[in-house]
Amino acid sequence: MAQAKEFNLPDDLYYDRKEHIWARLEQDGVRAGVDAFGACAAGTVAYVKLSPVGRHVQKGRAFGSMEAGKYVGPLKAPVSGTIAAVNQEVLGNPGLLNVDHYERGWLVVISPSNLRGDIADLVHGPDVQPWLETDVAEYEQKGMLKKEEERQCT
Amino acid sequence: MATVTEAQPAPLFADPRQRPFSARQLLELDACTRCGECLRACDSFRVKGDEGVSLMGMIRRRRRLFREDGSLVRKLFRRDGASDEAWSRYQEGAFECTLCGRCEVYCPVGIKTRDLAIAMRQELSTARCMLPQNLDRARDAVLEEGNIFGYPNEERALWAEFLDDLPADLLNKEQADVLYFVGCVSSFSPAVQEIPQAFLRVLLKAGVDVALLAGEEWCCGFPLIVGGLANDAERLIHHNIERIRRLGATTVVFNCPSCYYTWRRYYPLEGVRLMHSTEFIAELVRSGRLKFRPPDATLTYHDPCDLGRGLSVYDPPRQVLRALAGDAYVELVPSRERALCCGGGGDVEIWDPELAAEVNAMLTGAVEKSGAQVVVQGCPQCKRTTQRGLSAKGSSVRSMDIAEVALAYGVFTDGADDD
Repeated sequence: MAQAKEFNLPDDLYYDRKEHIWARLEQDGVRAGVDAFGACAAGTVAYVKLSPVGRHVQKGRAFGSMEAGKYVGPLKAPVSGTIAAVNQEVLGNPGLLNVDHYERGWLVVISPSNLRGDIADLVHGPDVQPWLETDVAEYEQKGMLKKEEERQCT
Repeated sequence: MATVTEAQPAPLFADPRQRPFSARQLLELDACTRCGECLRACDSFRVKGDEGVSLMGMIRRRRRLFREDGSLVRKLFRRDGASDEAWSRYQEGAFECTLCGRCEVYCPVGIKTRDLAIAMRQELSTARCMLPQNLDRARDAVLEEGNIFGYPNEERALWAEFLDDLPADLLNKEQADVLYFVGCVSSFSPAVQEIPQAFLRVLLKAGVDVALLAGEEWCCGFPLIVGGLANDAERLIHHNIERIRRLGATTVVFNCPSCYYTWRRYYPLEGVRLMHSTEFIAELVRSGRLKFRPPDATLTYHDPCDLGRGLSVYDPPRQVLRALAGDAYVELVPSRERALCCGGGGDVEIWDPELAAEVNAMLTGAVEKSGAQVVVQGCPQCKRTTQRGLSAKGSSVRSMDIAEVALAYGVFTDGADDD
């Protein structure tokens, strides 16, 4: 587990270093969601929309969109493929993205079309810790993250 | 073949560095009698308690700046003009106006308050480089990405891709009778993406040959114009006009009143019919192509500022809702020319989101008082702020766009089904 300040990022997952989208390789496909740091920086998530099952998505292109206190923007696919499952629970309760990042707060499962190539540039394993530390420091320096004492992130 | 942008067309807007105010506006600055009627109309003033956010206060501060800049004493002693602090105070007030235009209805000397407030912002943002920081980011987002959110513009039609029954050719049409210009808020904010989804379905059920520009649709220019950066909006306007010419559409439909207002007021476009969704749906009702099942709720309607006071479109939405609900439609108080602002206008949400929320609380208070179970709106930004405000209050009242209402209760005839 990588940790910086209050943010925990399991190092067995793969991360898009810019979008803070996590990807978990599972038997049925790649499960994806927003990591703890990304969700905190975005603020309280109020709305989420996701592409329907069966839609093809490309790595780096949107598979959904999210509106939070400090962010309105796309959710970008960590890998290319076809949407195999959509988390209906999170559509009805977007706040799950802020409290249960890696379990109930998952967004979609993608059946990958080029898994090996697509995960090559995702952060994984021992690289997660230094990347997280650098990103947290950068966000704090740029004022893109609330001060530590004002944050209420899990 | 040269495109419009390559041909460098004549400027659409005057350069505020040369002349910030028109002759009429200079007269208006002088004509204000400080009667205070505009304060009665001003929601920003009610929240802030600072006269400087009202038009009367802005005019007073601007007059003082004129005096200080032109003072003989200052010139004799070779002192600089008005202080930076005085300009900053004036700027703060000018950017906390929602540009709702409600004060224009109350002003006894007929000042075009909204245009004057925009001219003040033009002077501040463009001529004096005093653009507020958050608006600076919004400008960069529009100019770099083509939308107010700084979202990759090629994802503009994502809301349509969320539909599981999206017609295969919709995003690739090269020719169409009607262009649906969706606008940034509807395209990108998941809080209101049901609106374009519903309006698109209404258009398809009505048998309209419609196209979307998808990633080739650029911001209409409204946020830049009201932020005092009209000159920066010209490139967007020419781009959008070129795209509609290429498509060959003879009608453009909008669900966003601010886009509609901008096109009607600033786009040099002849021979193309422009319609807001409320007008389009009212036309379907009038022609008998749209009938309604009885609603299961009492409805009221909130007039969006840019549609109502901006373009005097008051009757079409009421024709639709009266046809739908009959006696189950109740008029909001106040409404029409005196309707309350949702707080989301004039770029105020970008500059001061707390003020926007407090202004919205007055609207949601009026909605609750009306006794309606559903407030129908005709603006994505109004819906975005109002549903958030209602939710924050724990209210049971729902906000629905008129296109969602038409889809939920509508029965389409003449070959269009009702599934």
